[in-house]
This record gives sequence, structure tokens and C-alpha cells, in this order.
Amino acid sequence: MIHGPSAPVGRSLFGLSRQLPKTLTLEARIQGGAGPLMGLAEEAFYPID
Amino acid sequence: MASYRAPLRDMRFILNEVCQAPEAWAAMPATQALDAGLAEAILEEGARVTGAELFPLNQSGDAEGCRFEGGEVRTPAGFQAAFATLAEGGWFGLGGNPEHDGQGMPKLLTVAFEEMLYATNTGFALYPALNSGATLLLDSHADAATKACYLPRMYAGQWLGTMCLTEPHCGTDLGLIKTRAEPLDEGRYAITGTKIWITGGEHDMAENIVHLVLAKLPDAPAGSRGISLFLVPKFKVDDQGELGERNALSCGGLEHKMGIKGSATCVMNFDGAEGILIGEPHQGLAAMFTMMNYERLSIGIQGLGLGEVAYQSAMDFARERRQSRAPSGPAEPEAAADPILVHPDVRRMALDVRAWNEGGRAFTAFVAGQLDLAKFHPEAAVREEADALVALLTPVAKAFLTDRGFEATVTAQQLYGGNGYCVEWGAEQYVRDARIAMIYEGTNGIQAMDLVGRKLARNRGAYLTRFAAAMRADLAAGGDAEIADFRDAAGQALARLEAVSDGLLARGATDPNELGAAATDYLELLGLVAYAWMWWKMARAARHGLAADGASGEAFYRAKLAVGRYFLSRQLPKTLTLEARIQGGVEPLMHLAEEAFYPVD
Repeated sequence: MIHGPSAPVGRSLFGLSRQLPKTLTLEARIQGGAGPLMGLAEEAFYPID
Repeated sequence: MASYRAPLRDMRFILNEVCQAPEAWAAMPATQALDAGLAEAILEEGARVTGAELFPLNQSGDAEGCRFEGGEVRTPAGFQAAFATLAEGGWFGLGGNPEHDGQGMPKLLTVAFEEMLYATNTGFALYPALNSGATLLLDSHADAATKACYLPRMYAGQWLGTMCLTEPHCGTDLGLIKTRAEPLDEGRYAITGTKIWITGGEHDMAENIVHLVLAKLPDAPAGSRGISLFLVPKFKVDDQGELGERNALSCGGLEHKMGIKGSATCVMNFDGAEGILIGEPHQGLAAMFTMMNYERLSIGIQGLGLGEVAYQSAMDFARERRQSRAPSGPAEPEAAADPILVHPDVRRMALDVRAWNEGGRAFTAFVAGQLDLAKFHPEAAVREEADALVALLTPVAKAFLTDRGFEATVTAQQLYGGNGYCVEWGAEQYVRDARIAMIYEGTNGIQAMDLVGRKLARNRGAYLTRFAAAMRADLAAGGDAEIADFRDAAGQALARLEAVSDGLLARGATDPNELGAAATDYLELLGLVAYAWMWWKMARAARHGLAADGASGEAFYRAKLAVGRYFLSRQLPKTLTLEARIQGGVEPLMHLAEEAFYPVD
């Protein structure tokens, strides 16, 4: 629903400025590869104390 | 099923190898009596008593909840007996003033016990948590006679304290409170008004309940400067500390909540109840702030404790659960399927929770250590430096730990698949119990506003400058080339924080909305940088432990470094997004006209 002339622009501005930058985090994570996830031996996941 | 053992090995590692707690305690007269042996005994017994008394009541207490019957509140089955056991053991006075029968343990040690309390039974833990805040407040602001009468009994759990701030029409803005205090004779006041969301306002576990109530005197100035603090007991108390008649206050009912169902959240009606003034007239809010740093850290620990029990319970499930085959080929060909931890996405969930918990535990200890320095250290310059760090980091401890705690419980729940949505596994309770921590004790949005307003802009970044200097000096101290990635990542994140802070301060000087627009992202950015520092500290201690055959063991140290590298690779990069959001400024938040927020169809 359009809420007046400024609404679509305002929502687009918010999306571009505040939500789209998550791509920066995702890119860095993906480029980090599998190593950080697979480095811990299975038994080290389980609590020992 | 739900599973928990206090993470003593990690607690010992942080206390002894990361924080060098015994050396820190030896440097302060107030804590010199505490050595590593006594601390170890307290940790072990704390783990035993919370595991034996509280954890078995967690799910049953959630299912049963508190009941309101004829003006009285009944806690869930077993709570009374568990409370008596912990009271008898002196656990409610662990951090209390020794001059009034408290045990005087430093915060650096008591935070470990608090984590155990919240992990084993958050609904129960809130009763002693509120009592700790109330005793801290009385110890700082009550007169000698009041302290002598109340503190020993509250440390013993004979009487239990509450904090009565919120009213139906105001919570964040306490300057609007309507509860009034009319002077009587002999220093007494008649308190009249309604308070809501009062944790432990009425219950059946202690013989008296000591309400600390914010109210306004007849001549009070308007707003928050007109608030005074009063002690209003459920049963009146004579000069010898004997209980008298019932005071004119009552519980009007219980809130029906999403979680923490074992905690009695009460509506309290004060109908001319007799109380005494604590501290100076109109200084009640200032008095409250003396315990605020401790209480906010405590609620942060609620997030940590729940994150830990959620992790352990999820790993208990993962240990048994087998589904599909590892992408690289069967890990256990003789079995019908592989353990789910062969799957990278399951590991992602587990490591996310694990890394938040371990970073959070180190951060909690760091802030607690600063609270101890600020309170106990003999040198004024050290106290003042610690005070500055505490001021800056308290809102981060409250909000970042509880945000991560909730995230941890949701992520752990996801790891179960459909089982996580079913009550018997316990995972959904942790989600519900963690949610409130982001809301009460000042919402996380309020914490963020406090950070960017009072702690950053008001002193033009002076606290942050101290934080950066301390972190940078520590990054330059020790460590070897094997952990250069930890030092580099933390240094880069700190530089990003400083650049963002400079820009924000400049924009905030001309438009105050810039601060509010950046607040939540800025708090998260500072939290991530602080955790990067903590991971550097832990990596350095782990490397030292590996070289010196340290007490935690090789497998522990290697796991610590692996989890730390997960943090660097998968969690710290969020600083990139936060930087971009903050630098986007206020415009994206303020552009939309107010009327355009409301649905029209």
C-alpha cells in the first residue's frame, strides 16, 4: 500500500542503507571458506565438565 | 533432554589463565583472603548445589508457574526447599559486605555462580538477583542502623529484597511516577501507589519481603530529580529486627508471561504502607544508579547462562542424532547414517552458540574484574580508570550479552529440527526465558541510547579513548606469530570502531538524531570489538597453556583456538555491515513521514 508520495522512496532508502549492507558480512563469511567450521574435532563439541 | 554441567574448566581458564584472578585479588586488601583454592571450592560447590537443587526444577517450574491464591503467591513445587538449601549454604550473601555477615567475594568470582544460577533455573535465579541489587543499594545508601538490621537477614535469605520502579503508565521515563510518600512521625513515611512488574513482589520463600520503592515527596520537583527511595517491608520491623504487623501493601496479581514462569512478577499496591527514606530526599534515582552497573551485568549473564545450557542440551541431542551422510563421504559407514555434526551447517549453528558463549564468559569476567578494581583497588587512579571502562561497557554487557543469549537459544533450538519446537526437549523454554532479558532492566534500545548519549557523546569519546588505549596496549603485549591473526583482526576492528566513532561524534554534534539512529548498531559494533579483544586474550592464554603444559589441557587449548578462529571468520565480519549502516546516517530512518508508518487499509 502506498502511504503518500514519500513512502516508497523512504522504504527504498531504508532498505538500501540499512538492510542491503548485510551483503558485506555474508561475503566475508562465505569467503572465509569451510576451514573455520571443520577445524574443531567432533568430540570437542561435547561439554567435558 | 535438557542437559547441563557447569563449564568449570572454561571458568577456571578465564579466572586463572586469562584474568590471573589470584594475582589480582592479592593486590587488593579487601580480597586478599581469597586464593585460588578457596575460589575453586566455591566454584565446585556452586556447580554442585545449582545442579542438584535448581536444574531439576527448571522444566517443572516452567510448566507449573507461580500461582496467585487469595492475595498470596505460591512458587512452583520444590522452590521453597531449594531456596532454603541455598540460603543455608550462604549463597545469597556471596558478594555481600562482610561487616554485615556477607561473604565479601569479588564480582569476578560471583559472576561465575550467577551464570550457574541462570543456566540451571532462570525463573528461580531472579529472586536472589533482585536481592543482590537491593542489598547493594542498602549497603551504599542506608544508615548504619538500617544496614545492621536488614543486611544480615537479606544475605541469609531470611528476608528478600525487591526493586519497585515501574508503574502502569511509565517505565523508561521514571520522572512520571505517581507513587507518593507522605511524611509521618519519627522519620516514617506513608507510601501510596501502584507498582507493576515487580519480581518477587510476593512469594512464599522468605519470612519477610523488603521492597525498595521509588516515590515522590510532597515537595518534590517535577521529573526525575524529584524521586526519592524508600524501604517498605511486607511486615513491619521493630528496633530489634523483630517482625510486627502486616504493612499496608498487597499483591494485586501476577503477570502472565511468555517465560520465566517460576519468577513471580507482581502488581504491588501500596496503600499508605509505612516506610523509611533511604539516602537523601529527591536522590532516589541517583541511588539506584549505584547498583545499576551490577544489575545490568547480572541480566547480561542471564543471556550467557541460557546460551550455555542451550548449547549443552543441543550437543546432548547432537551426540545421539544421526541423519544423512557427510558431504565428503560416510563418516561411519557401518551405521545407517552419520552423526549430524558431520554437516557443516550443523557445525555452523553449534559454533555460533559456542563462540558467543565463550566470548561472553570472558567479557563478563572482564567487566566484573573492572567492577572489582573500581570498588576495591587501593590506588585512586586505578579505580578511576576502571570506573570509566565500567561506565562504557555496562550497557554493552547488558544488551550485547542478552542479544547474543537470545540468538544462541534460537540457534540451539534450530539444531534440533522439529524436536526443538516440542516442550519435552527443553530448548523452547530457553528461548522464552532468554527473550525477557532483552527487554527488562532497561530495554536494549535504551542501553544503546545510554551508550551513544551518556557514555560516548557527553564526554566527546573520552571513555572510548581509554578503552581503545587499553585494548591497543594489550594487543601489543605478548602472544606469538601463531596467533597474529587474532591480533590483526582485533586491531582492524578497533580501528574501524574508532573511525566510526569519530564520524558519529561529528554528525551528532549538529544533529542529535544521528546518535539515536546509530545507537543499536554502534552498541553491537562495540560489543564485537570487545569480544575480539577477549578472543585475543583467550588465544594468548591458550598459546601459553600449550607451551607450558597448562592446567586446562592440550585438547582444551586447541579447541579454544579453533572456536576463536570461528569467531574471527564468521562473527567479527558483521562489523563491516554495522559500519555501513552507521555511516548511512539518520536520513534513512527519518525520511518517512510519521503518518506513512500507520497501515491505512
